[in-house]
Formats: sequence, structure tokens, C-alpha cells
Amino acid sequence: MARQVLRVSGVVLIAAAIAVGGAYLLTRPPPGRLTFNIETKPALMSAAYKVYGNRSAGDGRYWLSKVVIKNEGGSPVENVTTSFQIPGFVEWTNPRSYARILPGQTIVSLFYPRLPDSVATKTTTTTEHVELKVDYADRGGARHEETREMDFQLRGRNDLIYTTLPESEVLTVQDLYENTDLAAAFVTPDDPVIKYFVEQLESKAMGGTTVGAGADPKEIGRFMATVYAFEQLSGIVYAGTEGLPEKSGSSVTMIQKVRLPREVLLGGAGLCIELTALFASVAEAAGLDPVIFTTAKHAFPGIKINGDVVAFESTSVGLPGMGEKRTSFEDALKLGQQDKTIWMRGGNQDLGPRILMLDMHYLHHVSGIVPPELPDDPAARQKIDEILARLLSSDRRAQQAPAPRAAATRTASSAPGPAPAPPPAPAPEPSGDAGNRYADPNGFFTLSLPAGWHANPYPAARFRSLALEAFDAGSTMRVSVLVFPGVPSAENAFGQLRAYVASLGGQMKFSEQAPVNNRGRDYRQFYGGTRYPQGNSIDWVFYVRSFPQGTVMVSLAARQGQLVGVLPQLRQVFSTFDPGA
Amino acid sequence: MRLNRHMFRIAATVVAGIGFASFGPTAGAQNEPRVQLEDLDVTVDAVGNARFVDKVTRSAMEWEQYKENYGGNPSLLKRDLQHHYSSTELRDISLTNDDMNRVSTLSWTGDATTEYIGNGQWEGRLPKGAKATKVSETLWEFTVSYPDEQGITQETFHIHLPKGTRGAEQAQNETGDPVLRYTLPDHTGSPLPWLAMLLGVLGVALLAAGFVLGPATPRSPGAAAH
Repeated sequence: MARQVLRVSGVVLIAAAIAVGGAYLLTRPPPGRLTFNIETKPALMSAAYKVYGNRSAGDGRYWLSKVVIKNEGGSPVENVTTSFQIPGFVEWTNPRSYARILPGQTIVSLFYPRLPDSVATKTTTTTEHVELKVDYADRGGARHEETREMDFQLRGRNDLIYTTLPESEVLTVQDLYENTDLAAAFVTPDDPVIKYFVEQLESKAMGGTTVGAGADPKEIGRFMATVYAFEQLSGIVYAGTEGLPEKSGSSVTMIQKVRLPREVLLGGAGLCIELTALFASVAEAAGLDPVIFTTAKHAFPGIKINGDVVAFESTSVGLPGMGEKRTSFEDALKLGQQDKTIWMRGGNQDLGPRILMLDMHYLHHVSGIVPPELPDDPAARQKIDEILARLLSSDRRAQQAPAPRAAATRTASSAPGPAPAPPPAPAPEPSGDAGNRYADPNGFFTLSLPAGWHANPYPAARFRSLALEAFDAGSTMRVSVLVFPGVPSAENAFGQLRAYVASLGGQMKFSEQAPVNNRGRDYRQFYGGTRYPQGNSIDWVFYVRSFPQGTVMVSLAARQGQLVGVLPQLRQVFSTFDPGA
Repeated sequence: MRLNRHMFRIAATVVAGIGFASFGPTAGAQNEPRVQLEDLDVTVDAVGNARFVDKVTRSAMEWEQYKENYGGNPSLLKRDLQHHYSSTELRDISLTNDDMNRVSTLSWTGDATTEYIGNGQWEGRLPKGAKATKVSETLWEFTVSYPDEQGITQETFHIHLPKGTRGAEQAQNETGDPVLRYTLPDHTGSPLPWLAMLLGVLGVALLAAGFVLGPATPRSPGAAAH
């Protein structure tokens, strides 16, 4: 009987199990179902590559891709992972894991790409794509993988993107500058060249200073005046070009080409934002607290001093090439204060509407908007030494002069902050003749080469027009001089050069650009490159001048893709070129 | 739970538009630094989404500045929120202005405000420097202060955790940031499969016992003679 009871109970329980299981199958919720919403920024600035890799920068707003994953099914989805890559730049990131996504739950996965330092040398814009991989397990434990691809622009290191807002979001002029915080990436106090410049300026030009302590307005004024004098003496001028609006994808994107401060310091010309970034970089490297005022049409720097901000008009170095007189430091301070007053009132027609004041200390050290990693540059250091040597000699002349000009103008200054020391008298024209002077054996030309450069006169026996090949052993920079006696035009000279290059298996391509003036002489300017099938291709800029006696050409060259970064240094060499008669 | 200082950042972003009072010794000397009080209610649901209600009462001058900055285009607030709450997905953003009492109420829902980290545990980020106080098992509060160009903003957070929450505590995540961690049992699984399995196993066991354990009822010797 007991066995019977056991058997019957067992059958009943099994029947109950089947019934409960069936009820579960009939009433169980549907499986989990993930939906994806992916957003990718239309463009990244190479100069700000460190910012994009920092999830804390700007309170996390500088992500490249944002993926919103929602479980719209009825059951949890287990073990979800997300990973990203940018082919050629960033390999698949360590998967971000989510143990479980419940029905109705949302997760947000952000991609902050850690781009390599080499991005800082990128000079052109390319279209790249970011890839997303989502891996998850379904209810039965089977793994699934979803992938997506999104394009974005990786802009060159000199591109400053003022806004990435979609066109439909733009309402006010401020909207066109909503990304302007990233201008702080162009302020480079840690650049070894800028640091060296400040060290030399403080020790040699100023004879020591306590400016880094930041409390003495007079000392800060002396420092600012010395920086300004250096800019004027080194021939830095204002190049009043504005940024050109450029559409990028579906966004209205105001993009401006902005050279890095080291390029402006040695390159000789700067836009208002470039001169401002240079001044702010130097000031911050010296331990000061700079700010940048921006309006829709202008930018100018200021220094925080004892709770006030002393503004300065960095474009006062002027447009001497267009007949504009250089402005004294005192007047540059006055102009800066006027600009600041206008800015505080909201702007005017000349400056445009007020946009923002960028506090460099806050942006660099709190917001995480940091500049790119830049390598040291011995040629730049040498150039700084040369200019400082001239600055010191002219300072001595000024001290020996019977009536110090600046002593009178200092009392006329109404600036509320520093009382600047007299700046040294600026040199009338830029020059870089203090290097190793090279004279052509045939007397056709002279030029100065930086230390460490090698000069190879008439290196090609089959092409005697190549009068000099000078190169920097530590880089791919090269300066060549070609002399074509009796050749009347650039076209004829290029014809001979093409033939010679073709005999080596190379091919030249170039286009003519606007002419330039160097040391009072006009030169035709050509941008191009020479390609060799076996490699060693180069990019170059040719400056060509034809005389009654013939044609002379100067080539500034570097390995393909590297020219833009070194062009300012090469142009310094060209600025010393003298074709004689 | 990225409960950060959006108002401070918004103020910093539009510093150009709010009077520039800190510049110039005159303005700084004449005006006492103002203290702006804000109340932010955050109600978290069972799947980590939260409803935020931010109520700000302003002085007459601050109200004018606020209206000047956002009055004509309140969608600017949405953009600023999106910038500063990147790790959440915002929806249902609304703004009401009570001009008579100079009170603005900004509310929004932030999906993925808290994150499930496994074993029934959830975690939400707190602002740096936050020291949350437990009022009840499901209510936590703290106040944070942010300096800005015009003075100080004091923001008081009231965080309402879902019903059934237990074991909530302030902790640090792997990067050292303060987080609020809590346990909320996961009720998404059904007990029916486990019950069916249990019943089935028991049934099979009993059935097997009925056949295997011992003989059936023994026959009497007499009956065997027939």
C-alpha cells in the first residue's frame, strides 16, 4: 500500500511540475531586446587630442561617441560589453562591462579616445571612422555581437573649431562660438620652446625677475613690456585675417586656422587669436594668470593682477607692411583697456558682440583643456638666442641715448594695473642674419644657416644650377638654392629642373601662390612636391626671382607630410637670403 | 547619478552675460558676494532613471540677468544640461518661470543616472566634495557650494531612492569619486521555473521510490495455497 502511495504521489508531483512549467512558458515575459542610439561628434581638433581622451575634461562633455543602449524587451539581458576603436589611431578599447540590463533600463557608454601624440603633428583634415562593438548574452546564454561604424573628421592641428552645433540649433552669435573653450588648447605654456623663451627672456633680457610670484604689478608690467619688445624686434606682425566659416557635415562649423604659439614666435606674423595665444602662453609659462577676451571679431589677452584684469592689445605690433605704424607698449595697454571696457559693455560694431572670457588657469587646471605635447626644437632655441642678443644690444643703445623715450610715455599711461618699465626700442625691420653666414663661391648669393646645419655647395655634377643644398642633420628640413644664369623666367628654370628631376625618376607637381616680399625683393611663390617611385618624396615651397642676368630659386623642403610643421623655421632661413645684385 | 553643478557651469559659460561684477575693484568692493540657494530633488526609479526637479529662487537683479540669458531661448538650458550630464540620457526637459515670485523650476529625466553593478547593487555618482546624510533608508541629503564669478551657489540635494532599497551608503568608486551605493533586490526573475523543477524532481524521486524501495504488500501463505 505504501508503495502505491509513493507511486501515486510521484505521478501527481510530476504532473504538477509539468503544469507549472507550462504555465511559466505561457506567461513568461518576452526576451530582452536592446535598442541602440549612437551619436558621434562631426569633427575633432588635433590640437585638443589630449582633451578628448580625458573623461573629466569639461565635466565629460568632450566625448567622441555616445551610445545609449536600452532594453526594451521583457527580460534582462546579461553580460553586456561595449568597446570602440578608431582604425589607425586607437585599437579596440578594454570592454566596458554591464552585468545586467533590466527591462526598461538604459545604459550610456561614452568613448573618450586616447589619440596618440603623433596627432599633434597632423596638418591636414582626414575623414576617419569610429567603430562600436556591443556584445551580449540572450536568455538562452548565446552570445551576440552588434557592430556599428560612424564617420568623423579629424582636423589638422592648426584648426580651431568654434562650434559643432547643428545648423538647426544655432540661434545667436554666441552659438557660433560654443566650442571656444578649446581655444585654450592653443595656449602652450609647457611647450619646451616657449619655456626656453621665457627663461632666456627673464634671465638675459630682464636680468632676473620676480614676475612668477605674481604680486608686483610693476614687475609684471616690466615683463609684459619685454615680451612686447621682443615681438616687435623679432619682426612679428599682425596678419589681420579672420576665420572662414566652413560647413562640416550637417553642422555649421566656424573653423579658423590657428598656428601654435611657437610657430608665431618664430614665424613672423599672427592673427589676433594667434598673437593672443602667444602672449597668454608666455605669461602662463612665467607663472602669471592670463585670460583671453573673445568677441565675434576679435581676441585680446589680459593678466589677472590682484583681483583686477589688465587687458592688452596684442595686435598693436601692427601691420608695418601696410604702412601701419607700430604702437608703443603703453599705447597697447591703453588700447587693451579700451577693448576690455567695450567687451564689458557687450561689444560694439568694430569688435563685434562679446562672446567669452577664457580663464587659462581654470581651463588648463580645472576643466582639463590642455594643449598638445610638443617636442623640443633646437633651431627654435637658436633663433630665440639670436633675437635676444639683438634685443640686448638695442637695449644698451637705448640706455645710452640722452632722452629715454619711454620714461615720458610711462607717466602718460592710464592703465590701472602695472606701470611698465620702458621697453627697448624696436628694430625697424626683421632680420635673422646672426647665424652662420654662407657665401656662394661664385658670389651669386649669401644666406645664414642655423647651427647644426650642413652646407653642400654644388652637389650635382650633372646639374650645376643646383648651387647649394643645405640641410639639418637632425630632421628632414632642407634648403636648396638654384641659380640659372641667362635663364629669363621661372617657367624656363622650372623646365630645366623638371628635366633633371625626371632623369632621377622623379616627378614634380606644383601650383603658383601669391607672391611674397623678402628683404625688399619680390619673389614668385610655388607650393608643390617631388615624388619618387622608390620613396623619399618631399614637399616644398619655391621662391623664384628673375633678374636681367638670370633666375634664382630658393626651395624650402621637408619629407612628404612634414613641411607645414617646419615651414616657419625654414622661412627664417629664407628671410636671411640675399641674392646680391 | 551625475548630480553635478550645472548651474555653476552654466553661469561660468555665460559669464559674459551676467554683469562681470568681479572685475574691477569698485564693483567688488561695493557688492557683498551673493549666495544663491538652489534645491534639487532627485527621484530615482527601480531601473536607475531619475527625475530631477531644480527649483531656484532669485533676487530681483539675478532674475533680470537670468531672464536676459535664458528668457528668449530656454533651449540653451537644455544644451547646457546635455553638456554637463553627458553620462545620462536626458528627456522630458521642462522649465516653468514664476515671475511673481522669481522662482524658476527646471525639471528633466536622466536615464542611466544610476548604474547596476551586479548582485542587486546600484551606484550613482555624487558631486565632488559631497557628504551625504541618511535621513531614512530611501532619503539622502547633502549640500554643496560652488564659487562663481558673482559669489557662491549653495545647492541642496534631496535624493529619493526607490522603494525596497536597503543598505545604502556613500562610498568611493574605482577612480576615487564619491558615489551613493544601494541594494535593490532584482525581482525580474520568475519563481515558476524553479518551482516546476522542484516539483518534477520530487515527483521523480517518489515515483522511483515506489518502484525500488521494498516489495509490494506481502502475500499471506494461505492465499498462496489457493
